[in-house]
Amino acid sequence: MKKQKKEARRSRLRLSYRARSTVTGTMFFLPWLIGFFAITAYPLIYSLVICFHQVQIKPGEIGLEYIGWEYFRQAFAVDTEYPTKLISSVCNVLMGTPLVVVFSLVIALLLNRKFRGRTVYRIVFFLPVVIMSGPVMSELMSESSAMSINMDIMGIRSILMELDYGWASVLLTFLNSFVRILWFCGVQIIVFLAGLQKIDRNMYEAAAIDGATAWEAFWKITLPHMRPIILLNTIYTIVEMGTASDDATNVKIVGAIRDIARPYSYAAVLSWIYAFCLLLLILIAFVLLKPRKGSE
Amino acid sequence: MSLKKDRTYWQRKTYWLIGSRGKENSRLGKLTTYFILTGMGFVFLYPLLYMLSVSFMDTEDLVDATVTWIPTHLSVESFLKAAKTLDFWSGIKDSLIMTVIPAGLQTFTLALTGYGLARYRVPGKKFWMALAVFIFLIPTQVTMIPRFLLFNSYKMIGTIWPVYLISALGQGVKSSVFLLIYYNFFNSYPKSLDEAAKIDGAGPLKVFFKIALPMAKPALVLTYLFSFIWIWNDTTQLPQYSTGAATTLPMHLQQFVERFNKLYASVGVSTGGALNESIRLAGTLLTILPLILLYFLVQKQFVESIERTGLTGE
Repeated sequence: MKKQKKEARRSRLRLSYRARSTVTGTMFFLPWLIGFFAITAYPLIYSLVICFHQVQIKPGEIGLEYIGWEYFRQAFAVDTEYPTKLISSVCNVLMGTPLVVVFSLVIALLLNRKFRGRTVYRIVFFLPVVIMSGPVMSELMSESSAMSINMDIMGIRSILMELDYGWASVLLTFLNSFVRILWFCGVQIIVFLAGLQKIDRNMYEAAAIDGATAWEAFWKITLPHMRPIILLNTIYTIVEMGTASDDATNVKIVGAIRDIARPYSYAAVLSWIYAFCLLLLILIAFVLLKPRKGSE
Repeated sequence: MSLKKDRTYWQRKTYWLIGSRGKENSRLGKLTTYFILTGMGFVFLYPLLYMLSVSFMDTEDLVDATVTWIPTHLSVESFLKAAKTLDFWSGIKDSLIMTVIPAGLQTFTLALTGYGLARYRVPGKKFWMALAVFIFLIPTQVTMIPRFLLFNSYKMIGTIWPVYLISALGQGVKSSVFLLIYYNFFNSYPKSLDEAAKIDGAGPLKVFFKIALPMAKPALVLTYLFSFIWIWNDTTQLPQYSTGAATTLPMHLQQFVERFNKLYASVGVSTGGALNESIRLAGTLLTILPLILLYFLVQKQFVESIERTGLTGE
């Protein structure tokens, strides 16, 4: 009897403790929640709604007239610019992302080693994070020589120019936008570096004792441990490259906002289509890189 | 194994990346590291160096084909013109108004949110986290227009308040990233500290301010710096709501050519009224100068905080 009573009281106490925890936690969490509903969720849904409506700006109010999928049809069938821009943007992201991820992993691996002057190098490699921004990038890109190093080492470029295969022109584009792509690496290097520092050093020691070479250790220890972080960085890179304000599609979207015949809604349609493509890419990345079952 | 011996052992063993083993190869490994990093670093710094070099050139040097990197004499003329075109002082004032406090607000609100989510029993925790990630994936262009209409209906367009409101409610530029950082950070430090304080009679707010916040210093530094940079550099979202009340430096830069032509239209091309590469790059450099200064000021804390934040969780 006594024991039961005690248990009941304890459970009640625990429950009230739980409830208190919920209330306090929610209080901490509340500002973000209010913000989310007021300035993120509502606009998000609203922008979906106006995709299917013609927006009419009347003095003092905004009228909506339902038109269905018309603007989606126009985006692909009538608009001459949008489909090509969309494809080139998606291709850019698709090809840039693996490059950025691999480069930042290599740089992070090197920066993670112990050598003199490491801090100086770290400062250098984190710098793009500070500078990267739309107008700065577009200024630099417009001064074509600032963002592309003359990479005509050993005549690689001139050889590529001579070839008129498809892959040659792709390679050439890469050489030309090499610096731009590398400048997307800043945050990813930081994230990789933080991840590398978390790997238990003892594991490498154990592997070395068992006779593993450094090369094997990299493939068997480092990479599997970095897998979730690689996924994280891949997603981050896709978003970062996709939302860059000098991206062709984004320029088009911003221009379409003040389209006189179809204000707001056509831009909303274009941005949702683009967002959908990016989400598709992210999904692919996730399927390819998702943590394997059984590991960890 | 003594610690010292252990360390030398590891100095040898950490050259696994290029597969070199043993002491005799260590110098080669080090050399390779320096070589690759210097090469990559050069590519990284190239635009900056180029900007620095060209912006100090005058018209003569620009035309002169024999001058590639080092100007024959340092000329600050480009900077003066660029500063005038950018309307530098008013731009920097507006930029600071739009950045310093909002970045602080965002840092604080997200710390609260991350702490609440990590340390307390919030219903639907996983759902909210997933939602935060989802928001990050949606391009900002999508929400920009409805937000504009929303703030318009509150008569906030053309004032600086939208930026403050967005930051104070933790919905700013890439805020989901910071939320994840905080969440990981507060999840990873020992709960017993909180409990000890609670037993000593501290309330939840006191625990947060006296224990959680001081411990989260690296995360706070990281978040503040990134918030600052991202708000400063933003031209597509926040400043659009505040046109008229505050025009930030990057916004001035965006209209650099038009502004220049307006200013110097009457001067005439022959008397230095022509817009050249040097002036444009000087303008670009001036726009990011405050960020570079800030970065060098806090770089030590910044690099340290990356190592201590536990950015990536488990």
